[in-house]
Amino acid sequence: MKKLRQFFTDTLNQITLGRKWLIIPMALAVLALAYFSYLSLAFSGTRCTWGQAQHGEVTDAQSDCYACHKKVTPKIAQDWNESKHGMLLVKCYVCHGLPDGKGAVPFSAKPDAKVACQRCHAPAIERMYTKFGVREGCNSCHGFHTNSLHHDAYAKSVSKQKAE
Amino acid sequence: MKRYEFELKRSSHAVDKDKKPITCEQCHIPRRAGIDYLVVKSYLGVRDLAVHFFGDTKDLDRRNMQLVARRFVSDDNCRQCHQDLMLTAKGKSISPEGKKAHEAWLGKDGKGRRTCAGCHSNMAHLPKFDRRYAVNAAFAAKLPPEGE
Amino acid sequence: MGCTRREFIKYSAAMAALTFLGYGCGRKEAEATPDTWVKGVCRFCGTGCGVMVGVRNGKVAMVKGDPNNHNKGMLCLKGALLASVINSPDRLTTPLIRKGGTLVKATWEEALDLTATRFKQTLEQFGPKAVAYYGSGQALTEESYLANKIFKAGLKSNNVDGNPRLCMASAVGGYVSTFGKDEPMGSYEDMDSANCFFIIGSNTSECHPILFRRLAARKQSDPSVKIIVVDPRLTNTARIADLHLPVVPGTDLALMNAMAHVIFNEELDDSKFHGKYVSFKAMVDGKPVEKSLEDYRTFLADYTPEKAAAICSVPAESIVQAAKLFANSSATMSLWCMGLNQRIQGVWANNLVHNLHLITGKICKPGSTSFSLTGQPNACGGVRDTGSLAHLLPGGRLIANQEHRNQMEEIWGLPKDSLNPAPGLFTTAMFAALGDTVRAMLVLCTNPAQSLPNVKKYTANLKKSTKFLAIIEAFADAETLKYADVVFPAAFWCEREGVYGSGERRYCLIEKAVASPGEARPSVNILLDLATRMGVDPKLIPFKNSADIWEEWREISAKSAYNFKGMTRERLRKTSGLLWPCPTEDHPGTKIRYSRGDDPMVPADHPDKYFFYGNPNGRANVWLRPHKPAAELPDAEYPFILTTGRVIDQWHTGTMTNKVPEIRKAFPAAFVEVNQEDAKRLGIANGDNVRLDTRRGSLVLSARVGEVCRPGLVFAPFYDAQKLVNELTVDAVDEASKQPEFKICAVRVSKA
Repeated sequence: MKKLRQFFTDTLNQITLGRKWLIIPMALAVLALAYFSYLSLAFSGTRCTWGQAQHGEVTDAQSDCYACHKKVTPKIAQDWNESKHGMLLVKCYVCHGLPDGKGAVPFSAKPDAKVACQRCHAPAIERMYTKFGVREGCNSCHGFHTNSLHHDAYAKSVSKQKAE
Repeated sequence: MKRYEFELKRSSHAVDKDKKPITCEQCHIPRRAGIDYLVVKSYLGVRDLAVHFFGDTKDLDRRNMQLVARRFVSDDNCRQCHQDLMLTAKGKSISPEGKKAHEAWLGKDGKGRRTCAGCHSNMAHLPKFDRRYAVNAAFAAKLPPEGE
Repeated sequence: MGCTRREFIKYSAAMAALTFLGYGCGRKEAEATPDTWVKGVCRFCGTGCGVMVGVRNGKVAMVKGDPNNHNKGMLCLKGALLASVINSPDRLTTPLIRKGGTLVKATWEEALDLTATRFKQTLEQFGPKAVAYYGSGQALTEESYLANKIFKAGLKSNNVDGNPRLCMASAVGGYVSTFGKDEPMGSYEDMDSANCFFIIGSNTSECHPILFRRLAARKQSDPSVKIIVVDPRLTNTARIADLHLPVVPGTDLALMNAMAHVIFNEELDDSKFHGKYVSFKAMVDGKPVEKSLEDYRTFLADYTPEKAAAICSVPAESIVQAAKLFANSSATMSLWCMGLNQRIQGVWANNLVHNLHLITGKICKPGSTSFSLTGQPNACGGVRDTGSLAHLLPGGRLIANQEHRNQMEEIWGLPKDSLNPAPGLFTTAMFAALGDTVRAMLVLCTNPAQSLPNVKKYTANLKKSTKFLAIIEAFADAETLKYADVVFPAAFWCEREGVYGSGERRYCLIEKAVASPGEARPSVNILLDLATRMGVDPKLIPFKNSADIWEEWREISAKSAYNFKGMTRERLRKTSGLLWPCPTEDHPGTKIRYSRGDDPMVPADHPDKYFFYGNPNGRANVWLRPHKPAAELPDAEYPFILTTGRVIDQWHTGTMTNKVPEIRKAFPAAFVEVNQEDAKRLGIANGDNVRLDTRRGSLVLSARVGEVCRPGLVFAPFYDAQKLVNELTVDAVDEASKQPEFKICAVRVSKA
């Protein structure tokens, strides 16, 4: 492995140092790389388009998010259901808003932690700020849905579950 | 490999609409004869052999495998049987929620670009950690509680 | 010029970062952060969570939890979405007068003059019995106290009642008959030290979510904490229960007597406690008679777990287990709500919960308490404590008691024996007499045309032309507006200042945060204007605003066991609520009543640790209450039991919660929950239209089939004005508390 890396570095150094005009194809390559990485990120099969979430038309009869989502997105729905928020019935729309965007909460598949969390967790956010100096990005450590209160997850942390 | 066969035989994908058993490669090997076929077939073949002789089959991380399940099941294979996504393979109408989700996937109003297996990750196999989902209840009931 | 490997990596990273940035562009910017935060209390249930109202440009921009109040900054989903309610465009902004069948805009002068004239005419023509006031557990303490004083002292009419009659009159009856004084002796803090929770007739998780959070957190911190849930429905509360007893509705008296039986049988009772602090009593021919412990045990001998199991249709072992969990834990806390209160045996059921605590001595200690949950934000502080009910006077005094009347006459500066000695009409009687003996009525801050039981019977009276109905209301789409002759637009929630008293005796000040829309005025000012025009003695109402009224009420409270003289307006402004008794300005408030050292009303040199000063002998009463069935039992014609209640999203009649787009969309219409076995038998599938028939009416609702309701039971929420389940409910009332039995009636279920 080490040898391989050494080989690459050497060739790269040789090329760039020796022939300065190579900067143009080099730049083109970088651009191409960026373009392809963009494409692969934007249109890969793994991710849904959570940045600009779109949602189908919802009639009033189907409007209880959980009733539909426990079939359509069973993992997320179940995570919520078993989490503290699910136990305490802090329902989807409290943080995610309404799909038609006509609600009081802006519709977003990834809610803004600054607004959504602050309604209830302002004291905790301040505590985190004094401890770590961060006010945002609650989600990176405390998963919105997977902060469980009961069920199997009651005794197990999320990391332990993964080992299962 | 036995575990996966065991699960498959109890799943909704054990047999097709004509009661003919569905085999592994029907889903996992691309149908089209071409570069895909060659690459996947040879890669999987080599890897399976490697795992069989040098690896530990119990060590497979199913939770992480599931995240990339779409790489191992081509949509074309699914669509062989499921031509009309508003109907089941047996020609019955699917649930209203399913219709909505498939409409969105087909691009009628959403922008979903997942593959079939991206959503339906537990069609033929059901790891223990997914058995608690309500949608998998019928499948989970057919599997022994202790077997992974 | 060269491009090193390092630079190459840098460029790539930068490009990758840029591509990622592309994702962020479409995201919405955060809501504008509020300029100022104003302290208040949530407008919804009786939990009384503290809120901080974020104001920006004179509008409520956001609501968050108050970190210093008992809820520690947490809010339930309704509380978190409160801002949409106050910003709703459906507000009343001008007074309305009914002319030719429709409500038309009018000036304040016209509306006030018309109402005052009609009330004065009625008083002259038919006497004080013909005027009535119907208040609310959502009105401010100051408003309820003022209206009570205007009607009882000014107009000499005792027809002062309110919607707490529909909500917690039985809890009042229970506390008063057992302990002599109203209101729970514990506080929410007991939840943090209790080891066993006995939740009966309460869906805490949906109706008091923040208390449920505290309870669940307690369970999480200590898995040995046991939770017993007695509820015919498998509610969300039952998710954390160790023992769920799905009893047949209306049979819990047998259950609790059987639990008492087991406690004595297994010698789990605390003889030291009940020998010293308890007296046993029974009603014989309508009079309370002293009984002995032996009498009580003979009475209980009839309630073996096996017999109770047959009545309640739960296993006898579960009853024994529940009794053992209750008695064996180091600290047990009972919680109950409308499941016990809205019943014709409401007071008795309340007594039986207190009995369990008194015989095991699990009372007045940290974590050990019997705690009644309340449904409205100010039913405790505003209505119970100020005595704004037909049989009460302020500070727990009774109208029927001459001594109590004389005390109030002296306090209010009235001539001796000038108060009306006859108790007034309670809610259902008041509405039954409307248009007949009651000719003019003032309704404040409530929606009786939707919330009364068997409501069709009463809306017929509301339609009569012989009645005059003036209402003070904030929202233009309340059901009662259809029947009103005059409507006054009221300032809502934090548009005026006042005190709310929550379920744990906590008084908290709502400060004024924003101006009210249009010409809407604080209800206190409307009541004062009306009283002046009706010719009420100005000496009785020397008030300018709610702060003046609070000063008077605070002074008066010192002359009763409800002593909160130490809660000055200034102090309430600084703190996030205080618990009474709080007799002096340096008193921190009382967490546990009736206990020496905690309760300032118990003398510091009292010989015993506990002193139930509400009763003449200083002891609490254990009542011998036999099992009594519900008013309307299922039969061959109407084989199902219908029970009504709430869902977490909607609050009461939905006038407020329907202003929140999220909630309106999530729960647009009422539904009926049917057990899956029943549904299979009747051929009902999820989402089908189901017809409910009772002896009073019928209704078609969409079905939710599942395992929530026990077989033989159907449940429907009452928030939907279009599909009014209260048209089906029975209006039989508890003999003692006069609270109607919303929770049980016989119904026929069929596919529509």
